[in-house]
Amino acid sequence: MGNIQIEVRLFAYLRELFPPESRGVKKVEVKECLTIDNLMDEIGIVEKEIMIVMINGVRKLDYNESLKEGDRVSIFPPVGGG
Amino acid sequence: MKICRIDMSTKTISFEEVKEEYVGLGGRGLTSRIISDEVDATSHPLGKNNKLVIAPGLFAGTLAPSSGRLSVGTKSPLTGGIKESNAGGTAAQSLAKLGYKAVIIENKPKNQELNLIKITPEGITIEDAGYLKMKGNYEVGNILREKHGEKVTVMSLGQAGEMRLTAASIAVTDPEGRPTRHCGRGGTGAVLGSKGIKAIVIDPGKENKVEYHNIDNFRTAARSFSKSVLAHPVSGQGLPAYGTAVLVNVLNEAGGLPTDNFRDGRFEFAENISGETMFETIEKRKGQTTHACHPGCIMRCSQVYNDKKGDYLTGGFEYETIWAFGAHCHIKDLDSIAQMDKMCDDFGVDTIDTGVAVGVAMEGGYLEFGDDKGAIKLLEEIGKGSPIGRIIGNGAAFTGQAFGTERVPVVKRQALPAYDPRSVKGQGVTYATTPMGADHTAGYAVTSNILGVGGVVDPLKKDGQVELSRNLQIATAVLDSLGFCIFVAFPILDDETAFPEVANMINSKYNTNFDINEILASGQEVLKLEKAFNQRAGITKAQDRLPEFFKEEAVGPHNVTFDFTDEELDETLEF
Ligand code: SF4
Repeated sequence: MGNIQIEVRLFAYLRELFPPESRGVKKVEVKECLTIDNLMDEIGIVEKEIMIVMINGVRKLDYNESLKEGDRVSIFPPVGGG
Repeated sequence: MKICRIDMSTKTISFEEVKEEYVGLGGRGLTSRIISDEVDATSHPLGKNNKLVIAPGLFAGTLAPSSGRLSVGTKSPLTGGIKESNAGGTAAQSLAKLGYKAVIIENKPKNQELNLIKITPEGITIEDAGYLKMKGNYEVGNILREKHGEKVTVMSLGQAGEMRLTAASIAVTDPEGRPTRHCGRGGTGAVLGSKGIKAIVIDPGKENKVEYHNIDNFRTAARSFSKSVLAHPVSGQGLPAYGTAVLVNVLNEAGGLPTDNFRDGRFEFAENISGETMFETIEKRKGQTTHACHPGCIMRCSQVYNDKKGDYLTGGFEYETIWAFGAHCHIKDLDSIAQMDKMCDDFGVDTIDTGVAVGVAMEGGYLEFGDDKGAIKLLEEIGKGSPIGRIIGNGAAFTGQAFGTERVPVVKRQALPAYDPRSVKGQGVTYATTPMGADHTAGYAVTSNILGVGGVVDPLKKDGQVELSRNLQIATAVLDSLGFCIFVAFPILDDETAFPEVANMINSKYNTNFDINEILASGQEVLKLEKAFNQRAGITKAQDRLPEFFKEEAVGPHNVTFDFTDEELDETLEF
């Protein structure tokens, strides 16, 4: 099985998980069958269930979904306003 | 509790006991009821027959957390319909402590004049305020605090309200005395200006006249409710840490950040104007990342933003403002946007309608998208009262007419806020159907559409949106009547113990026995009343619609249109 390139975008305090100069955005190469759940583990995100995860701008609730080449993965901690 | 009437034609002030039917009403519930009972819906908004009602919510001045929001009601010169415009700041608590349930301002002086209303424990007086002519809210506040004491609350008009422009706001000072909180929407400032009033000074004195039927029960319920607010991740952690500006990136990722006058759902420079960037900038310049707009707010979403030199620039710098002058106008410089926020607060105009108006002027070719210097110059004209300044200060719909463009994002002539109705469809339903004209707070569907609060409703699909918007509009009418900040909706939607505590607070304060369903029914009543007023004013279903480009033009990155039928929209508030 090959590797795929995805873009991971972290927001608010989750950005601390990446080096500061990345401003929360990193292109990474991952295994083809990697799921959202695996990815969050790899990044070191705890309390996964309270996060807002979007793939290409679409909210995902099922973290068993596999990632695809070129996916834009955005992860937010619980935030909001109005 | 008493109701005060101020007649600006004879300068008489009278006090009334609260009528039986008004006892259980406060905030928006009361302002909408009085406007509906006393104002002929066909009267001119700036004429003597319109009234302006100022009412704290039912919980103002109590131990309930974040309950100091103020309602101002009137017939709107912007929408031509009924309006409740809601603000933070210290006015609601000051009025409640003095024992006022509402202040009704009616009639108008024969000649152009400027007056100051002074409300103190000794009573109410009307004084000449000619010396404040064409001064901005910051200066007005400084002068009035010097004259009347550092502790007073000031509600005031900038130049825009004096000129009776339809985007004019009424500023309300925050605990530091800064005019950063506004009854922004719907031109309430123009109505106050038409009554010959420049400012209202409120000195709450020392005594708190707020009464409770059973204070112990109230305290217990308020404590438990506060716990729910603080335990919820959004109201307890997200809002205090990042304020509302964190939504720039949230909506940008979701493809719902309207860009270049609603041409795109993502802004290439979102990061430059994001909540994260704002947070870092504030920290670096030693501002305040967290601030309460009134004492007793435990969510503290506000902030103090300093300039490059580390001096105060602005506060209460909200997502909607950053969006309006930012992504909507393709402006990427956060300092320029902060400068424009300050100017709007000072001149006294709604940041949403004004920001959208600037984008519409760009649409009409008056200046280029992305031209922040040009936009700042254009805003300066509002303060000067020049013809172009008056055009912009009349809001987006008027500006669109002045520049002959049809691409004007308004409903009932009020500008759409910061969520694209095509990719956050529940929000689109609220914009179209609320009696207020396009308004995000009236039924904040971003909760379930984007934030995953109160369940999940797919923002890109129609399913469930009408029902979602309906339920949120009803619940919001209740919260606006209680004087709660709408952000308490986050815990209420997710924690089933929260709303029963609201009922407990009502019952222990007012010696009533309402259950949750009865309380929600009162929210429905408010909406029915508002709709009926609008119908009498000539606003029909034909105005419960979005501009047609939202139906015809798909927005990226999801390539979706606003695809509700008229019948679907009409069902929203059909009860
Ligand atoms: S959460 Fe924000 S807007 Fe609401 S009352 Fe508190 S400071 Fe004001």
